[in-house]
Amino acid sequence: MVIGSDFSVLRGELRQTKVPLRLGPPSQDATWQTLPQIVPGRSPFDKATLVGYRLSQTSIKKALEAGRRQPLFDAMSMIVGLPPNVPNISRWTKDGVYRPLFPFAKSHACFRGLKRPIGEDDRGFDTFAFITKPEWGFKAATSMVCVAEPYQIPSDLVFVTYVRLDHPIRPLALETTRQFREFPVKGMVTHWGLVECDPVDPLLPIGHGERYRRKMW
Amino acid sequence: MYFEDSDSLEYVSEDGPCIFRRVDEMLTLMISIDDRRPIGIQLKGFKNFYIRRLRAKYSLDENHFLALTCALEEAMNSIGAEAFKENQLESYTLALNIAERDSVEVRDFPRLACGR
Repeated sequence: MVIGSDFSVLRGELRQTKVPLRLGPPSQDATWQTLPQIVPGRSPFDKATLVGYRLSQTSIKKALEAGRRQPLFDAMSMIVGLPPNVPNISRWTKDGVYRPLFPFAKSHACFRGLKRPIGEDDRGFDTFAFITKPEWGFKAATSMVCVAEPYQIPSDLVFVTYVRLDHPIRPLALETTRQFREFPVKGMVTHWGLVECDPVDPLLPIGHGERYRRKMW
Repeated sequence: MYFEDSDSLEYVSEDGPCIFRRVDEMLTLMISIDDRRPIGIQLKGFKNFYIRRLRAKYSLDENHFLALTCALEEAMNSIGAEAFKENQLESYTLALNIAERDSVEVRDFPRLACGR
């Protein structure tokens, strides 16, 4: 409790305190919107071979501009395999509350050909679908503490990551980023999403025979 | 919004986890993960469809806009009424209801840099 002369001393100290005044718009910290340029994944031709894929940032930026954060959260948690880089995310990742995430590099199945036109590819033949079965994801939260929160993914869903291979397939081209120097980059992750699983084989997407041309592995 | 990487036109009414339920090679419904109700629409292979069917019929260019219901109706016409399966027709009707309810307009068309 401050009384008498202590208060006057405090008032003097406050008068001397200089609070910096900064004019202009707040600094835009876009760290949480930043995704890795390249992510590791499996080769569509050999499950045991790890390769790199560029991660499309265009769709995510466009969605963010329209107020949609979920594509970013899905990419971060189910392709990169990390929690979104938002303030106070440690609330969900510290010891005792960690929920393992399942990255794209742990795909257990791969299909080729979407059976529909996609861009310049009239048949969708050069697009591959990689399948994972994550248990947890992150979604936007209306919270003052952390704007993202984990949610449990229902067991009747699988996650599909679509990749368009470079054409023609480039010879081994080592990327310079330190983390993925050893992975040749083979294509680009173009889009992704949760789909319902096959009732007979819950590790595969429903209707995979009609959706895709061929199962690679 | 048109997404060039996936060549798809999307409209979704909520920002949250959703399930992509494929109807056919053109239409996918976006379903809420919580209560499995339709919350959005995805028209796939949109660039090709836009060039072949929409642009000429509606005299569109990048400055115009188009009701999403028109795009969906044109998609249904391209399939043909006799080819519709029951659940397929139901899904397109759901998509039309969403587009009409939310008065969705398409203002974002594929860039036609190579088509002009």
